[in-house]
Amino acid sequence: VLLACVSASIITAILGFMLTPGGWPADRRFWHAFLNPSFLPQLVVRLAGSFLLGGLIAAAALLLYQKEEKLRREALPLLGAVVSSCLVLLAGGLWWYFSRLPADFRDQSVAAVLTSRFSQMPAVFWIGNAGGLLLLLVFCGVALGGAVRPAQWLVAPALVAAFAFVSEFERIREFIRGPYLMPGYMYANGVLIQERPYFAEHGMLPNSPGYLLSNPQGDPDRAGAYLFARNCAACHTVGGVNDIRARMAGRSQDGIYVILGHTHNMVPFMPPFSGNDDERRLLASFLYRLTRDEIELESYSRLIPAAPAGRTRRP
Amino acid sequence: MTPPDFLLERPVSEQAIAILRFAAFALHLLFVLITLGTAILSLAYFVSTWWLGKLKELRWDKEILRTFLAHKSLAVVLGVGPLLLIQVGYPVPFFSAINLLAPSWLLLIVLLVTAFLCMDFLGQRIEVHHYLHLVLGVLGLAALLAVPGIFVAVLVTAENPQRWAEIAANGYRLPIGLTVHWLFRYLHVLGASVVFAGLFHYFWSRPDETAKRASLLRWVAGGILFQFALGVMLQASMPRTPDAATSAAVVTGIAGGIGLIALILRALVNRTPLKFAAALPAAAVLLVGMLLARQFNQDRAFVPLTREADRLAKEYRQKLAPYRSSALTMYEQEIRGRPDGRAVYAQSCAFCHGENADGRSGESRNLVIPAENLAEMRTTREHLRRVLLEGVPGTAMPRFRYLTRSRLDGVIDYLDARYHVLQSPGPIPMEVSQAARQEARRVYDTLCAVCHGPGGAPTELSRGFQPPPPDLSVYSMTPQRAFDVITSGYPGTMMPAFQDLPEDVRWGLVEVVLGLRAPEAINRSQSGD
Repeated sequence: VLLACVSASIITAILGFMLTPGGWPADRRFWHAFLNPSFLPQLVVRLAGSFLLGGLIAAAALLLYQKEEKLRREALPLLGAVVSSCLVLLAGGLWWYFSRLPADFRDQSVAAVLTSRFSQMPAVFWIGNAGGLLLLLVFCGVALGGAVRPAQWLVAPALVAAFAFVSEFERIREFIRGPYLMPGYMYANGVLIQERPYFAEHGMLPNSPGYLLSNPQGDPDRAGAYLFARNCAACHTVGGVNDIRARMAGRSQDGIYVILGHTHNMVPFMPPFSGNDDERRLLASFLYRLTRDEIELESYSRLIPAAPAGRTRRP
Repeated sequence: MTPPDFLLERPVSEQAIAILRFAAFALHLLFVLITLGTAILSLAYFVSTWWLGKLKELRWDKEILRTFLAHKSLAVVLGVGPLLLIQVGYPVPFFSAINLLAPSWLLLIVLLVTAFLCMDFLGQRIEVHHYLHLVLGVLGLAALLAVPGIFVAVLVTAENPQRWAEIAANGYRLPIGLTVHWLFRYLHVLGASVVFAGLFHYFWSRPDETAKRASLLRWVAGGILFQFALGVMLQASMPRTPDAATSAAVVTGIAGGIGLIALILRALVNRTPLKFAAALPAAAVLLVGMLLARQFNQDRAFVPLTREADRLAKEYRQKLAPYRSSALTMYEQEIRGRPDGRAVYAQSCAFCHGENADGRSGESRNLVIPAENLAEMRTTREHLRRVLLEGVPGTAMPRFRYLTRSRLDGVIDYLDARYHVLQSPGPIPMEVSQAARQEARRVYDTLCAVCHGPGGAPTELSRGFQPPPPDLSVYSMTPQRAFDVITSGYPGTMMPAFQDLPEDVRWGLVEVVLGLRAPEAINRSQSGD
């Protein structure tokens, strides 16, 4: 158990670091990264959460598989006490955790769970969470009271609720990093934060050796496809999930050009465009024509324009 | 030229990474080999037992497969080390290879899950029907054997950067020369798995299980001989002639192999047990020798590539250095912000609509259809929210459904508090004569209604415009702004200029248009005059 907790604390440090790097982006100190602002509260949340799940799983085994009535009656209140104290600890830990997050990140938590499809119905979030919490509280009450029959009915839904809370926490933690893969170091599309001003001045294409090798003639469609691959393709596909053509449908070319310069202003989790003004125009033109089916790509996964003749495949 | 990739300093020295990588990989591979060999031997014993009709009697295949759970768990856990070390130590070859073979690399998850579920089900259940056993065994083994195939392909790719362009053009497939090398190398892994799993199960079984032990020894002996034959072909298929260090390591490994097979043959011929104390050093020399050869050969490709990448990364880091502090300052400001409606407007709207919401901004000048003058807009909360959520097709106005409801409401409240956008358009600043009013009504019905519709909602024709006209029953402007748009048109859209109409008719049109939205508001303003 001790070693398991040590391993949990190392993983928690890494996960916490990826959301709240604290002083690390400035000084690159190991201990600043390890003991980052959300490390301790997250450790409380994770340990309390694991013991909560453990208690519920033990309760499920006891209630659904253990045949001996006496053992059931004696052990149930004990497990109820474990689960309730974990819930209290968890509530405190979560409050501590969210208070340590930057306001701009914390603000995204509800949207993280609801996704853009339900983003305008925040009530769904609160009602869902309150329902799950109520279920766990009722289970705690029943278990503490030693009521075996109702507990048998409630334990499976309570376990499902507990797992749902775990998934929800992980979803929020992954999602609310804003436009960053690693806050203070790298955007979600793999561009370093200091590369953005550098590219704005010197261009992204001339600083991309792989691209220069692949497009010696400087074909503008290939350049556009490369800018798309570097800037957008970490999240957007052409013809698949989060299709860029669906996003760009209805936009004028000048409109796309303007939007490209402000992606991070409009969508809280979208990285900014990286490149100079010419490249921004190039990408706008590429996206505009791609959306109007004037450019064909070789395939979904190969973001290069299809060869003009012969083997062309419509993505 | 290699792309600069890894911009952080390595946490420990190159040598330390090489030594750790060797040790971690050797441990990982040992259990990988035993896992693979356990699955192969178990299925082979199952088939032969069934063939001999002895399924009700001793089940060697069951005894062997029962250990699968432990071996595969150790193989997976111990795999984390080499994986991390190769990522930290040699990011360019590693990440290039997994990208060049991306579909196969992703397939690993499916293959491993399938293999582990099948094999552990068979290994942990006491009674499984023969046919089910055969089906699951074959399926599990096939999935399991595909895994080293993919890993070997990744390593072959990583070790041959001169062929990367070809692999990329091939579409995730190795070129033919490398495929031959891959095949021999892959079979060499399978051969080794039978040798090491056979040895493990030999020493794991009780000394009195002589028949089983003899059978296992024959597998090991056969495996070693297979490896010798295959090794010759593998050597011949090497993309580059091995250097001295690699060859020395291979010779050491072969010596271990010869020692091991001598011990085994003696045990088989004399029917004496194989001594653990003698077999272990021979097997260790074999494994260490061969794995050293593998790493020496790999490093001939990895080390120069990584040094070059490091040099480029260092150069690139120096180029970026002057931009770092400003980028960090921006980041720190960003995460300190607390977004209220005003801040959301400043961040998400002002770049087009302007600081004063009058549609004047640097970006608006780049637009054929300039951004709307929001300060002069008069609309409803519902309409404004719909525009924010859906954008305006044909213009630069995007969808903002990624903003939370509270942020959207915050922006709407901010616009209303500062510019009164949710209030009624207000009174018309001049008296419109009855004649002008009638003329305006006639003009609206014959001309404007074609697009704007008799009641202000876009018509079937105009709904397809890019952009469609706004729904005048829920959206209007201050009278002065409406007058200006009627007079000069709306740039970039289908809305023409009506400056040829007499001025009081244009004001009459303003009255008609505002009346479409809120007749009671207009009436009120008239009665107030």
